[in-house]
This record gives sequence, structure tokens and C-alpha cells, in this order.
Amino acid sequence: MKRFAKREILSEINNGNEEVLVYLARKYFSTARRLLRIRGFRDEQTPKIFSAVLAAVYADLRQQKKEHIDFEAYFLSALNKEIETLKEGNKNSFKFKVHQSTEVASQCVSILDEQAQALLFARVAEQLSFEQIKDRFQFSNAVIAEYEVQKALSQLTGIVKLRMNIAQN
Amino acid sequence: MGISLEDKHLIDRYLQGEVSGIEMENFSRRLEADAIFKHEVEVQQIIYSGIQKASKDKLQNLIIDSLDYRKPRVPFALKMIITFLAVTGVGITLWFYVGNEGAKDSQARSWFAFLKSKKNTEEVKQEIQKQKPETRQKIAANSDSLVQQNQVVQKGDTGEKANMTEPDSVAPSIAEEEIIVKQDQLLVSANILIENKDEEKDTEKNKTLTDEAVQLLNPGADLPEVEKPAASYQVEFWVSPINYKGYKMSKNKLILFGIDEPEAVKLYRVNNGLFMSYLKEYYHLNDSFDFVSYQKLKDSEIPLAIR
Repeated sequence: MKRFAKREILSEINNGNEEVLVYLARKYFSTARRLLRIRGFRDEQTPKIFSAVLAAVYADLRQQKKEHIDFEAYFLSALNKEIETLKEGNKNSFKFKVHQSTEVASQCVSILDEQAQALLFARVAEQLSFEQIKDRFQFSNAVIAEYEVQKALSQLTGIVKLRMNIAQN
Repeated sequence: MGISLEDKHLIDRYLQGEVSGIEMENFSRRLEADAIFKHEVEVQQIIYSGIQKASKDKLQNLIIDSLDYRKPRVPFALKMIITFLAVTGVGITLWFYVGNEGAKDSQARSWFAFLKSKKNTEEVKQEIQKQKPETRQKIAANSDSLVQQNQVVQKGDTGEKANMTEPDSVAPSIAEEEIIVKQDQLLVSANILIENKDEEKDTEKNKTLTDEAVQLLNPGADLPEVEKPAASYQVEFWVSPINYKGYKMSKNKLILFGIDEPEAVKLYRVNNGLFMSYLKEYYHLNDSFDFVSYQKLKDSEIPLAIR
């Protein structure tokens, strides 16, 4: 497993490197697990809670392009917040409360091919501009990048509308 | 009727949070006025949420796969109980081992000390058994022979009581065993008669007359009485761990060190002097409060009466 220095972590997150995510997961899981166990969560729940928090932190940092943050403090703060939120509710019936239509839409994303998924993730989840998408996916210009994104989005819209029985306009 | 490409771009920009100012006002107005446009915006909003969720799910799966989590075989609560018991056990052991009292007490109470002392005792026992089997046999033999001797003395004696204490035949405890190894040991104690071999028989008679005269005149005359020499001695036979050989004598008590065969000891009185014969050797014994070595007599020094 590749190791990353503290300074490298944020820059690698901003670049969308998922290798750093694996590194962070292995580094902080034991700490998070112990913390969760101390706070009364069952051991089976710990990977799910931990992965949800780390993914949220990763996505948040990637979107906001922050470069002057102590990752460890940021992550532990987010974990503690999540623990407090879960403890306020019923910790035994832990579930991510997601709207049903959103759940259906997310399932439809997996039907798309890898390239289309990656384009949509880059545009919607990472909020990259078409210029950045062009650079990452090595298109010749931003217009082509926008066209490719719109094509993937139209494809997904058609699938979602079909799946949800929404009348095609 | 589908929406135009421009509207698609506008909705995309709106959902990305890139619409603002007058454009945002126009967008809001159109949302209120145009139901189809509003419906399309809602659908796109669901799709965007779905994409974000799918992205997070993908990241989560990646994290969970990298963790390689397995449910622990031993439950956490059981681990805690075992840890608690282990810590308590170690604490109790340390408490017994270190303790808060003196070193001797703590060692005596310690389990390790107990094991150690037991081991040491066994070692000492083994050493004693190896080193002194012959001595023990001698002691046993000597005690038996002394008992026989005393029985003979009691039969033939004129009322004098022959006492003999048994050697330390009581099985020593572990602690005593250690002390015995380090200290002097009493083999046997016996009352031994002195054979009077005075060469000048007349002197005895004279002395007896003198004594009778003194007894008659005292206490009015306040004459010094001559003490009558003892007819027997209480003799103690000791063994020293450093093989010391010597004696100490006062009044009618005699302590002898280094005598392996007590039954071979005989005492004689010749001309007010006390002599001891032991294994064909003769020694002159003097009153002494301190231990002195045996003075072996040459042939020429041995009185004729006891030769």
C-alpha cells in the first residue's frame, strides 16, 4: 500500500486520486472503530458508519478544493458529529435516510457504462467544469466534453424516467 | 413536447449552483409559471441526487473493500472480561509478591518465595543426605550404644542417676533443617562417672579428716571448706559445622566438640587433675569458661595410674 505524507493527502484528494482513499481507510479505521465501540455501537456497524463518514469527508474536500485543513482533525470532527446524530436517533436501526426516487436514480447510474458514469460523477459529484473534465478525460476541447456529459445525462434521464414510470415528454 | 437544449443547460447550471442574479429571478419566475419546466427541473434534481448517491456508494464500497473487515471471533465484551480478569490476576500476584510489609514477611507470603523455599529445602535435604550419611549413621550408632551404656550404669550404680538425652531425633521442619546445617548440633548428653585413680591414698584420708574437722567447727570458726571434687560429669557431645575440636568445662559440666564416638570417652581423676581418654589417646582437661583445644598428652606425661 502506498503511503502519503500529510501534505500530499489533500492535494491527492483534490486530484480525485482514489488510492489515497484506500490509504486513509486503512489508517483511520482502527481509531474510528474503537471510538464507535466506546460510544456503544455494535462492531458490525462500524465499517458502514466509518465508510459513510470517510466518503462524505472525501467528497466534501474534493468539491470544496480545500488545501489548508488538518485532515485528521476534520475527519474525527465529522465522525463525532455523525456519532452524535446517530445517538440522537435510534442507533440500532441505523439507516441512511434517502428518498426512494433518489435510490432508484442511483441504481440506474450503475446501468450506464464506466465512461458515462465517470463523466457524470466528475460533473455532478465533483462539480468539475467542462474545462477540467476535458483535461481529466483527455478530450480535445470543452465543447466535446460538454456534449459527452449531456449525452450521458440524457441516457440516464431516459432510464430513470422509464424506471419511475414518469411520462416521457 | 420536449425541452430545448438551452433549457437543459440552464437546468444543469441551476443544479450546479451556477445561476445567480437576474438569471436566477427569471428562472424562479419560469418555475412558477411553466409546469412542464418545473417537472423537468424536479426530475433532473432527482437524477443529480441519484448520481451523487451513486458516487458516494462507489466510494463507500471502495473503502469497505479496502478494510477487509471480518467479524471478530471473540466478542468484544468477552475480550473486556478476559482483560479485566487478566489485569486483576496480575494485580493480585504483584500484591502477594511485593506486598506492603517487610521483606521477610512478603517473601514468606509470596507464592514464588514459597516455591523457591520449597525448592531450596529440597536441595538442602539432598545435600545433607549426600554429605553426611556416615555422620548420621555414627550418631545413630552412638546414641544406641550410649543408651546401652547408661542402662549398664543404672544397674551397677549406687544410686547415681544416669541421664541421657536423645539426640535430635525429631524430624526437623524445613526451617529447622536450614538452621541445623548452619549451627552447632548437640549429639548427645550423658552423665559420665569419673574413675578416681589417686596415687596418694593417704592424702584422701587426710583430706577426709580435715573436711570432717572443718565441718564440725563451722560456721562458728568460719573456716574455708574444701569443695569435694565431683564424682561424675554431665557431658555434652556437640558437632560443629566447621569441624571444631575442643572443650569447655566448669564445675561438673563438660562440653566436648569433635568427638565422634561418645561411648569411647572415659574420665579419670588423678591428683585433683581431670584426664580424658578417647580412642587410646589421653588428654588433660582444665576448668575453662572459654573453649580450648584438646591437649594431647605424650606418653611420658600420662599418669601411671591410668596408663
